[in-house]
Amino acid sequence: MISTGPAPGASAALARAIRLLQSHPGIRNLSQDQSDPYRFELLVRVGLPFRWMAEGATPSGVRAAEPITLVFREPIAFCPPSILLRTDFDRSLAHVQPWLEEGRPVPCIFEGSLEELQQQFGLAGIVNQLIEWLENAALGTLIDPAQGWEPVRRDFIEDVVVADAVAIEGLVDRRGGQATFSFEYVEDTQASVVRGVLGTDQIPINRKSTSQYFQSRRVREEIRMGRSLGIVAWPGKLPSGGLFLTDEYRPETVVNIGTLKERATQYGCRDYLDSALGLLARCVKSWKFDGTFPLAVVLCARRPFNIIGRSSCIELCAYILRIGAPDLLASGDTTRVRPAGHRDVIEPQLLRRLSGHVGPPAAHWAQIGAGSLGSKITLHLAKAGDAPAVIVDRQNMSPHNFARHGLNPPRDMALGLLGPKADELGEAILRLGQKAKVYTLNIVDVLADPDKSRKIFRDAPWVVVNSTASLVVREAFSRSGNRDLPRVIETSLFAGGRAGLLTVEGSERNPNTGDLIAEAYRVAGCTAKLRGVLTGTRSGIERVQTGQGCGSATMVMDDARLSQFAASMAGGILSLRTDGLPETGRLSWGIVADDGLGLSWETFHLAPSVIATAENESAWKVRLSKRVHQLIQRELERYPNVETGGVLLGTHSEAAQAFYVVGLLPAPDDSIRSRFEFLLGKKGLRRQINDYMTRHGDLLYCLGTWHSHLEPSGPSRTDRASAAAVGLARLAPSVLLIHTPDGYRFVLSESK
Amino acid sequence: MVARITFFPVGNGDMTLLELESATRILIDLNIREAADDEDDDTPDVARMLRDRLEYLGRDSEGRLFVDAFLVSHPDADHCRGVQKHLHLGAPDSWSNDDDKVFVREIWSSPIVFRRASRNHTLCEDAKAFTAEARRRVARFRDPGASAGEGDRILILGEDENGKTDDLEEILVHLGETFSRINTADESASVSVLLLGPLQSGDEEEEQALAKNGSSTILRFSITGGGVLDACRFLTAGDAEVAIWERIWRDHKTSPELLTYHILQSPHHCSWHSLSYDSWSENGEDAEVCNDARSALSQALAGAAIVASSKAIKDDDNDPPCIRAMREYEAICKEVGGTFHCVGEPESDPECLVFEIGSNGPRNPTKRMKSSSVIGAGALGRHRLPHG
Repeated sequence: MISTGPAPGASAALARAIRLLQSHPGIRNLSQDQSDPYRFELLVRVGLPFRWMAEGATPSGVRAAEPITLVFREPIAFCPPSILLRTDFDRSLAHVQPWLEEGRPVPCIFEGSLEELQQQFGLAGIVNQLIEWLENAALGTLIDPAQGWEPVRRDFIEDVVVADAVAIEGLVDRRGGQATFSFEYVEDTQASVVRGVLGTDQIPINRKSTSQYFQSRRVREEIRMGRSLGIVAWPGKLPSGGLFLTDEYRPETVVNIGTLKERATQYGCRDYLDSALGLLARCVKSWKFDGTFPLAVVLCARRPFNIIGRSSCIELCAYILRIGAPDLLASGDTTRVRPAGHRDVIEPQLLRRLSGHVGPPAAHWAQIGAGSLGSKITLHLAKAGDAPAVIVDRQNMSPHNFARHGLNPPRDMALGLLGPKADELGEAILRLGQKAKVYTLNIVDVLADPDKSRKIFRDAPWVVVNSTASLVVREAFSRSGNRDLPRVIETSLFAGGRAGLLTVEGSERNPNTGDLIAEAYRVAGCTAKLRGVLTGTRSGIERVQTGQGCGSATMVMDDARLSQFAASMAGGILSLRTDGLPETGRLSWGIVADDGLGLSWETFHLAPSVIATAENESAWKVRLSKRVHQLIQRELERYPNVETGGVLLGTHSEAAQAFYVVGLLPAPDDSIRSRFEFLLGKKGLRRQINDYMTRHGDLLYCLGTWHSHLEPSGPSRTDRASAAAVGLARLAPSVLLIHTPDGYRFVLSESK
Repeated sequence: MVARITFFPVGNGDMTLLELESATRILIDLNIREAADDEDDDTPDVARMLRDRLEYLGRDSEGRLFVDAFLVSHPDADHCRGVQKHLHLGAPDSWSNDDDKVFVREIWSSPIVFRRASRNHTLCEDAKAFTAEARRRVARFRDPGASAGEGDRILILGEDENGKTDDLEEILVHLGETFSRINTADESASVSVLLLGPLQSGDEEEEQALAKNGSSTILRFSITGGGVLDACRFLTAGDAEVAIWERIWRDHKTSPELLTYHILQSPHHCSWHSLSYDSWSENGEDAEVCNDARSALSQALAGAAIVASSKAIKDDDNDPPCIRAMREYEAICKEVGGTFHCVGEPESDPECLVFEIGSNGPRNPTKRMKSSSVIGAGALGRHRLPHG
């Protein structure tokens, strides 16, 4: 029995979330916490094979009805709920986060960010993905051999061991063994974080010569740099002759030498680890250390198939521990060991060219997003002497970013010292003789804080370029009512880099990016070449597949393709710098020719949207494109003496609390118009709506209805009843828009 | 690929698609009502659902949507409705791109196609068209100068009592036989099919008892899942009624293994007449279950699913679907921790009922929320909407 209802003080967004959870076919027994209205307990039906269904659970313990806790927080439109499993859920499954929340395991249901999943598919998409995850967990298919072995999750681990994976994989043989290498490191003594790089030449360990490898010096108050050793141990074969394989996924549990040895046993390399540590322990007996040193340990696990994204089945599991002399391990088996992230060394082919090109004018624009597209646009402009005055990006650089990023790796990359993208980009700009204020902040948080927002954007009054490819960021800009915010230019790529979109907001931010994107979808749906861009973007929320990488969700394309678009877009922005911003909004679709050589752009201008405010919900707005407004005017001229109407098409955003209307369907033939009533018919209407949705890849859809009043009157009782009827039949909010001689007004309706 | 069984929401009627791991597709019965073809009607558009699924599975080298085998369990309207409109009938080379009908590589038919229509066997237009197509394919087989390729093939399930199948041994499956040959391919790695009916009558009295819906083809599929043979047993029986089940139990009670199932399509759209000789509407709760028939239908394996391919089942005098029959099937399910499903529910938005077959047997994946529930047209186009 569902025992929920909007709690006093809870938001409309929470009420909407409750209705969706109540309507979801996979959810049962939804109940709201009495003391915390944002917390829900529920049962998710898991489609188990029949015989386990009859027993109520799988042999691995996944139940036919899994208890789940969802915890929402405001603003709900931007914050996906936290998902908690029951305390005794099997944590040895892949794709379970390495940490606990409230002592409960947390599933990793999606390869990218949940925030982005929510923006794209809504709460329904998150619940669907949770069901997908639970059913895969039940069937033991969270790891898909076709995609590769999921490495042991090590999110939010700060210690880093940089090692040449290909070289280590080359060591692993049938005999099993261990090898010792130099380990050059940087240590933050205050934060207890060690980052270092493993050498590639093996070092023989002996009492006399090995001690010379241990060196350390203080470079700043809390930073030490030095050299130590790293041990690599790998498994051999079984007594039966077969290779030692570890085909069971286990989450990271190593905390000390004892658990490290247990882990080495699981990986079949315990003897080799013991041998290396034993030899080292004997050597240090006669040494005199000044302090202690970090020791890197890399255990190699041989998996049954290749690791995701690699052409090898050897998984590298790195750890950092602290050694001293004359006792190697201060506390024996309880000596602390910290799991470390493994980072690959950068391959020579990943290196990028960076050249100095000086001569910048004063910079008065902001770059949001210092990823691949953002960095390249920024550098193109910076190299033309026109760098941004502000750069905002909260993420750190990772080695894989260099596949397409505009920056080359820094000199101290080998030590694993990779800073925030914004810092790195700011640094690159600095080397081009220009200066940008750099903020490693979440732009969504900035936009939610008027003071912070004002402080940052007063330095960039001309324009904000948003290259984050983030729907969350787009919606945050669309929602922001901050008058100090400059116009937004958004740059984005679609369909695996086959198409690109550049939107420029109009004067006074009208049309805004939301208007422009909706209109971009509309024009794409009318163009045969671009239609594939839409239908390839979204295929319906029931079809999202479980990701395997748990890494960054990114579009696969080569650097050349990305640079094609980055160069074009930067060229467009540079022209605007020269010619000035247009009064109207502008959107430009670019598409790559079939031969990959050409890039052709088509530009559309968009007049300001006509904005209607709600009769019954002040925060929501209906934004009619000028074209739609003119279509309505034309219809009114056709029927000046009777009420008329039709169907509104477009998209809506809960985050921005806006309906973007970019299309109309005329009233069906069986509609009836009279002086006092307009009766919207039904003949062929559903087919027309479905066809429209299909043509626009479900990105544009029916938003509700519009009709005219001959007098300047608000919604009648009939209108409110019809609005309620429309709202009841679907979960997304709907609009009943009324045109009166003194303007538009609308009723927002949704299922209660 | 993952083997699947899909029951389409066709109201009181049958329409089931089997997809094997080998990618072979078997369609059992068709019931596409005119209303389902009408966009403005709320009847589920099952033609579109079927075509979408076949499209997803891929067209053949000629660009045709196709099924490898199509069985009409018996030629009643609710089992072959829409055959003319949606399936290609006639010579393979007459398939037209413009019509884009589903191509049937091999037809499976009971020998009833050799019987003439009589007062007891009136045939609807679709049934006549199907029968004509089956006869065309048999004639093609009999023609010594012709070879029956895809689109001309037919398999006759059971012998004809009047000897009309005597010269068809090569395309004939005998009662009690198991076969894995589908469209001439050996599919034994993916499926084996046991022919349990139609039954042949022993005497005149029994013939009368068996005649009523007695010609239904009864098949028990053993389907491979995740590479494991016989991972799922599926029993389907058209409209077979109580006398048939009583006789089947009599014939097989010493080897009930042959009747075991993970999934049972409850015969005749959850009709009481498959379980009892008494009328539900006349006798109500006094109607008695035929124990032998019930035994034949209750060889459920752990967690089994019984599926009523019918309208939503209501607590009334209707039959089929019959509430009393549903209770009986629910009791059978309960004994093995299984579940009873009705394809017509929820009445407001019936969807396909899908079972996926993996190495651990079949399962019914949890339904996902559809995008149309959130951003669909909702009430628009369903009702006229007044605006004042």
